Amino acid sequence: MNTFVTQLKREYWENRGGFFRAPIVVIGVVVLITIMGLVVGQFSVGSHIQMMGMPISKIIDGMPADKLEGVARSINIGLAGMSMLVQFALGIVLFFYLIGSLFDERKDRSVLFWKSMPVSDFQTVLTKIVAATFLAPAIAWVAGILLHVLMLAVIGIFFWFNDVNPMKLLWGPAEPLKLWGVMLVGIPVNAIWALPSIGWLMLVSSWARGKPFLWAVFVPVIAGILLTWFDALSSLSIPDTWYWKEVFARGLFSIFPWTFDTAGAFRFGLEFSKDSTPADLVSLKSLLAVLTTLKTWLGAAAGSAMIAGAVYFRRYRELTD
Amino acid sequence: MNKVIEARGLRKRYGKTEAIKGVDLSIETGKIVGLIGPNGAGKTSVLKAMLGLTDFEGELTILGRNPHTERHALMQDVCFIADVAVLPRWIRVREAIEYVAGVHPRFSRSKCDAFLAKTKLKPEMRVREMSKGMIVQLHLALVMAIDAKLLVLDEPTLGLDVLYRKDFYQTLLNDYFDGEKTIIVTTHQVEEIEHILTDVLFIKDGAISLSATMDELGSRFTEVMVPVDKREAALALKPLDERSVFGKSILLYDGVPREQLDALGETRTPGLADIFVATMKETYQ
Repeated sequence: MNTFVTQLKREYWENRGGFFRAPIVVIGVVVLITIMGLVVGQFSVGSHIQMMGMPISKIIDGMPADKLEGVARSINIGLAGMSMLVQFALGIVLFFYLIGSLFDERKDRSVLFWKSMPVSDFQTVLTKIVAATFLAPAIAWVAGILLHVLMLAVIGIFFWFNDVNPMKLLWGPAEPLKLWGVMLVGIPVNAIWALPSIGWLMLVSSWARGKPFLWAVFVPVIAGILLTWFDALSSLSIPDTWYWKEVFARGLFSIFPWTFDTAGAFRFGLEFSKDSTPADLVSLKSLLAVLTTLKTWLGAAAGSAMIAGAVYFRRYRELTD
Repeated sequence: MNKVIEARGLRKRYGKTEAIKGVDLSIETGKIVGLIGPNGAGKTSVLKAMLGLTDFEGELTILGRNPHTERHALMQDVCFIADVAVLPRWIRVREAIEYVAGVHPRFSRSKCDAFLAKTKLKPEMRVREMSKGMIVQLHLALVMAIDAKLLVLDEPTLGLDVLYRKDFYQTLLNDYFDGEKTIIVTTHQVEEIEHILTDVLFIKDGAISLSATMDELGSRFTEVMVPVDKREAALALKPLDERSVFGKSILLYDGVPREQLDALGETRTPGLADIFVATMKETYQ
């Protein structure tokens, strides 16, 4: 246990920049841009912001209950969207973390130091997976909460400044607690979802003698292009769209959290539409869909097999050239 | 006697070149063994095989274990510095100590602190900010604070100044070594380690060319300074090596009784470096 905690700390020390500073930077940028926007708006338009010829404060006061519900929905979509920003940054960090996870130590020869310690290759690989699936997401989770609190405060103050009751229009209808709960439950679900990606990236990282990024990305791209050609040239019906969606996307990009829809299929987190808003994706419904889809578990099995491959290469691969 | 290392028919191939060509070894507890050989002789390959860092053919057991399949269990009892400056560049002194303390049950923090107190290293320093010598100092402090049964040092003092090197070997002998431990050292600075060694292994072209205790070495090899008129007689005894200093020849013999050589001139026990040079002579030719 002590070994495990120490190993995890070591991952954090090495990756403080990605695990800790990256979400903080995202928060800082989002909050700063918001404040700037609001301040500029305040000074150029002032309290004359009107809708249909009436000051906003007046409109709200006279708003019927069903309209207020729509406001609540918008706010919760907005909050989920903010979480998505942090999660997207987390995805980028994890993608590069995993690509370097078993390669960098061979490149800088520090693997000779790590291997002089009584830690098995399996333990090492496992710690890195836990760092990617629990440690970094937990930090991002806290960062998401921080972002929500700051944004609700900033926008609330802006409302209050403009004679709009923030309690009624913002703080009351917002449901951050529910969102935070779903995000927390989502951490282990996303871990299972990400297994194929974790497996592939770590396998390449443990195996490549150089340029792990190129191997990780171009092998699947070239495989896909070849499949598409075959598809076009012959009547052999290898469904290449299936490949791009179920193999390529899952293998490379399911390390990005919440890249599934309410049916448990892959979708890139940034394509939203009316019925699949961030608030719909970050929901217990989509989490349940992921867990009850067979493909998720097939992917997890494939990912685990590749992780076993990564352990094998961690043990037998020598230094990079 | 307890065998720490046993190798029989150890081989290692890299593609078509054979780095180790059938090495037989047997090292007992309580020895300080110098593994000495020219560049490319296979020293590092042998050490890597011992430490489970590389695959090999033949038989090899370290403390009764197969290093390749049981590396992490073996590392409870074996410590090594396989190459200089392999500490990760991002790590801080404080973190490195905490890490080793966390994963190694035989690590003593107080010992490590004592070693570090003799250096200029500070807890917050990162490896990337250190000179090569400082990195080595940190690595040595970490490793020497581990109470291991076998310590393997591959060129441990490369990049260190002569003051620290002397100090290091003194510390290794006085504070670290005891009869329960075994140490294997490779280095090019042969003169600096010969006084602490108990045994020596010469390795040449992937095979052991000489394996002897230091005492045996003293009785086997003799150096004679021969005046010109006796040179012919001396050459008849088939010296390993001849060099001339101030018009006199210095000849090195293997296995010729000293009494016989006394007649030719002034005899003395040669240094390890002289024996090494004499036996490795043809390597670069």
